[in-house]
Amino acid sequence: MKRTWKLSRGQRVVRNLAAALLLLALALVLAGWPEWMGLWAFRQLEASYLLTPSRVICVNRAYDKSWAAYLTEGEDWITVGRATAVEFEGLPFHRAVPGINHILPKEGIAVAALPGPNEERGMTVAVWGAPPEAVSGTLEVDLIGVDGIFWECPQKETFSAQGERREDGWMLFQLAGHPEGHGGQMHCAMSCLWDWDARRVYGFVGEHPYRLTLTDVRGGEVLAQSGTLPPNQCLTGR
Amino acid sequence: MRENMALLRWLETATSGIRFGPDRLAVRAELYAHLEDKTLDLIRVFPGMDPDEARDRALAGMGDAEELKTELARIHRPWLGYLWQASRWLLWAMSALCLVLLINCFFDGTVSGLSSGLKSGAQVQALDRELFGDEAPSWEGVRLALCAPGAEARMGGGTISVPAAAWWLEEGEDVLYLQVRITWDRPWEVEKAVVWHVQVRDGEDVLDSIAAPWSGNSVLRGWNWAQRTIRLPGASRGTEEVQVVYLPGVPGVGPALTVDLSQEVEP
Repeated sequence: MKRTWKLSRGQRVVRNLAAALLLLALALVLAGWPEWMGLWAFRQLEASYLLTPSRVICVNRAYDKSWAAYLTEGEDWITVGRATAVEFEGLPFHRAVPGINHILPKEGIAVAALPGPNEERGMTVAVWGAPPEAVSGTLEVDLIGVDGIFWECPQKETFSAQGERREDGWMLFQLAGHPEGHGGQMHCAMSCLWDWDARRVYGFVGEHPYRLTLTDVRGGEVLAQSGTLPPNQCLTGR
Repeated sequence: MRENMALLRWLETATSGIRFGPDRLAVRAELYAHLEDKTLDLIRVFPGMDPDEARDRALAGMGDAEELKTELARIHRPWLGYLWQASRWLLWAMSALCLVLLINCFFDGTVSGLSSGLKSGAQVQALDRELFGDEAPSWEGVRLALCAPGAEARMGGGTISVPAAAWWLEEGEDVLYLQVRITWDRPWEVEKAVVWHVQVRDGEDVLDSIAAPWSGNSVLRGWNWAQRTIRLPGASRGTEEVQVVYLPGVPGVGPALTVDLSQEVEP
């Protein structure tokens, strides 16, 4: 049977270019996630580890744009990880290499630091499972023996922040670095922690001690807890 | 010959304004076919007419070649033709690139190994046939029993299963081999590294996976699955069931599959 319709040349050009763009996107994904696809790469890794469905709670994009840290939440678990921009031989772009640092069960109170700096070069520590009456809180984290690769910060330096309970139940504490007074050290321990090489080598914050105090609407103490930030589980892909 | 030359000259002149080569050839062929039709029509209407005269008259009826040239040049914009051709080449190139990458990603059949025994996909498949199939082993060992575990659990967008299990006697010691497979609903989510995050337990005891020179530590990958064959020399033959725990470091998140070893299919 003779075809009764035919695409014009212009329409064929548009069709071919659209198809080529789709294939280019597929090729990029297959060749390795480009840097700007960090979140997709991380979500893909989550899906590979069967940690779906989940929703994004917090994203920390580093000031140098080469690193992003993610906090997501599934039905029974919490996932903390990052995507790093890495140069690969033979590729004309940086690849986003994802990694999962922590999978935490939703039991009790979960405390985890995002493994990458926020835009103010600070640290975000997320708390899940606070009692319903807790509306705010204070978190202190001691960074001890941070290896910044080029310089070390062996002394303890304490950082603290206030946080409020969000509607979804999460409490996010944004700990800022110290402009001065580093406990006798030349550099702030948080600067050491977020040094690019240190991030690349260690890929996570470290098992540092913390103290969490949660308060109710009247300022009364609801809960006081201390512990250490969780160890790195190092779930990676190809 | 004279008529043919006139015809060719007319066609050449009429199409010379079309700068896009493939279009020029196509229009030329179309005009030629049209002229032939007209010539045949004249011969059919006037059966006594000489074919050369019919062609001359048909050619005269086609109009002035120069005028047609101007009109055709106006209609056939070369940049659209070149763009169309470029888009076709681009599409082919992208298709070829994706095909190569797809082959690389999905059908590599490769294995990842730890410190010992990095094996190719074909070697792992051959090993699986020896362990769970009918092929004779290439090492000192006797299969004691083949089990039908049938353990399976869903999590996220995939299924964790234990499709095969077998008891072997190697160097006087009982050894349990388990195939642990993860099948993803979406093939693009397949990740070989994931199958390393399983642990086998006998009650509270964790059974250590110890590779032998013939088994290696290997993972086989299919288009939507990845599979690991785990060698467990510490298991005792009387064990009726073991648990395969996914994400053992995170209690309560990954499922624990109970693998029934009591249903022996054949030695």
